[in-house]
Amino acid sequence: MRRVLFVLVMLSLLCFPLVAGGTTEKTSSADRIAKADEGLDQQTKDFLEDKDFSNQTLVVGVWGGVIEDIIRETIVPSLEARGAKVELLLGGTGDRMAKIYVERNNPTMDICYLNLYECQQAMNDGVTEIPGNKIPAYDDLYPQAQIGGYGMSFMGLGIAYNPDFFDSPPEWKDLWKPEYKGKIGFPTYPGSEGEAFLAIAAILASGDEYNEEAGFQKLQELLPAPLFYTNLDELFMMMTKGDIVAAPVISGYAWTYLDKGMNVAFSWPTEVGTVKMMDVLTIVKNNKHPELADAWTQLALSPRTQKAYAERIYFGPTNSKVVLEGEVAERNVYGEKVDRLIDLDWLHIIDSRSERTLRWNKDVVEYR
Amino acid sequence: MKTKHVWALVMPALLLFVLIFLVPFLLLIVKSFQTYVPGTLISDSSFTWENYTQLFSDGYYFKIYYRTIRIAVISTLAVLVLSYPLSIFLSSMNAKVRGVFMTISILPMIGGAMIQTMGWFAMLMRYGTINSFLLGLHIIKDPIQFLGTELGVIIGLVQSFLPMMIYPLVSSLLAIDREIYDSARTLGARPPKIFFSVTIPLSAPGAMAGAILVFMACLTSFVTPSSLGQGKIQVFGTYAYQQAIQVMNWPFSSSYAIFFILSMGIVVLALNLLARGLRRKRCGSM
Repeated sequence: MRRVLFVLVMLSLLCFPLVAGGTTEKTSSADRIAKADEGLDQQTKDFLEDKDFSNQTLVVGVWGGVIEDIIRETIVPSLEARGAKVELLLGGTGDRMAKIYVERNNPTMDICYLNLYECQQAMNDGVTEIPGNKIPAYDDLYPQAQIGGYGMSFMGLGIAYNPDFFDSPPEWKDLWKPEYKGKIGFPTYPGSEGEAFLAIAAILASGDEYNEEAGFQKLQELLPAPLFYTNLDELFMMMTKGDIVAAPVISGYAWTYLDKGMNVAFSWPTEVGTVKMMDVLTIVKNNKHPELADAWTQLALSPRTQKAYAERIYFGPTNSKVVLEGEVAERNVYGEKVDRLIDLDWLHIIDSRSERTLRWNKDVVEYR
Repeated sequence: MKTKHVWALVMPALLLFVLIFLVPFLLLIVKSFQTYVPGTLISDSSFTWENYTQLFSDGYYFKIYYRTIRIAVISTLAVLVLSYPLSIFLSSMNAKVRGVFMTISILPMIGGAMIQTMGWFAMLMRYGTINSFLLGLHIIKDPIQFLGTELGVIIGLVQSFLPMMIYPLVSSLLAIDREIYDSARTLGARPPKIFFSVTIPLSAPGAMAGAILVFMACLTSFVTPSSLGQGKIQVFGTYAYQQAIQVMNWPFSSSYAIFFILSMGIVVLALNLLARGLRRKRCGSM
């Protein structure tokens, strides 16, 4: 008898969590969606309404670091609450480009984050989708962000500098002052920063961004380079110590270092201008989870995600509905700064990249 | 054992080799004869020699080639010089203690090249550990530029590949009959003489095996030169990366890789033959 009682008690104990679990799960699904969608705009909420992504896994190729953190906090939960699984392939753009090209007939990646300069090529090669207003937030994007995919954030290539050496924020031409020779940090090539720096030099020397001859000669005036920066820690350390007085740097990166207490400042040049930089979300053509990919894109462009980018890493919003204030607005490409950015002919730059790289290697890197 | 069975033994390795090396390698060869079309990444599949002729038409590639070999040779020699005393020390210990020390010596490799390079980066920086130390003691007035120089790259390579030399060297030192040393001493040879006339010749095959491993690893290294060289020291690995991943000129980078692999294959084959010669000589003299 005691044994029977014992078995009954044990059974009921076992059943209790099952029953309880059953009921909580039902309520928690709606709760989880509500919790994950907290702070989301109405447009995105409507777009995601009644969506169920059970048994679907979205593969997203993207950069690691803080970007990954932001994505995991602002985009992933809303999709997971709707049953989706998300796999992030972290790494550099080059690896991702190679992957989507190789797999172009049978892609395994659904979303691929690229840079402004390669996204147009990928789209023209038919590897990524042409952007459009099947994503409601597309219509809210600034026209400058509707190129080559869905512009994710704006930044500007400006000048990071040590304020001890400049009375006022420098313009591009100030980098060529004789007293700074050998103290200007260089970006690497190929890459957005290096290519833009070459174009700026060409414009300064000849007024023509296509005149690479003039550009290379102008750049040589700055050599020897104290550093070709691949690592911003070192660049800003050398800048703080005065071994480098200034370098062309992307706005968002410079501001995050300013936050770390480095003795650096950032200038948005107005002569010639601050060069437009943009990271771009692309949807891989013929991907296996089109509906889920669209949902990701809408969430990425939604003010909630865009604001997190702007506040945490100073990647300026491409969605015109996003409102920024105070210091965050100042440090981001935002408001009238969006229209002041100068755009380069990236398709031309990409076409000449192979030859220019050889020239850069020989005339700039190997300069002794 | 019949030859048929012997083949069965190599099957697993062969299968893996074919799948993950030979097939991609053949694809690389095919790619290397295709044409890169500016403006698109989809290469034109019509046959061309141009990627190969380009390699010989510009002295820049020769410069990279020469620099890669130079850095590899210097690093290998440095590893050799550093690991001889260490290996002699290790081989003179009793087996248990040696096991512990050998493990310690290989421990940094667990972290992989990336972690080690990050460590060196912090130490070699203009205001890193080494420069701060030397500046603090007033040994130097201005920081030494290690990063972005060949010296910095060589320091990184030597440290990371040292264990590859120690292992074969210690085992070949252990194989030397102790009585040979006793005989040498009895005949009046002093330690330096013993080192140069007994230790070195008898351990040469081990040193050679280690040298080939280290040399190969240096030739194909990528993380160390790209990080410690800061984009200023172009070697085979960094240039192949630049062409394939940054410029995305896949046909040209394929031909570059093929040319490099084949020419290095010849060098290593020659080294192997040399090593065999050394072993023969050793057997003959005993």
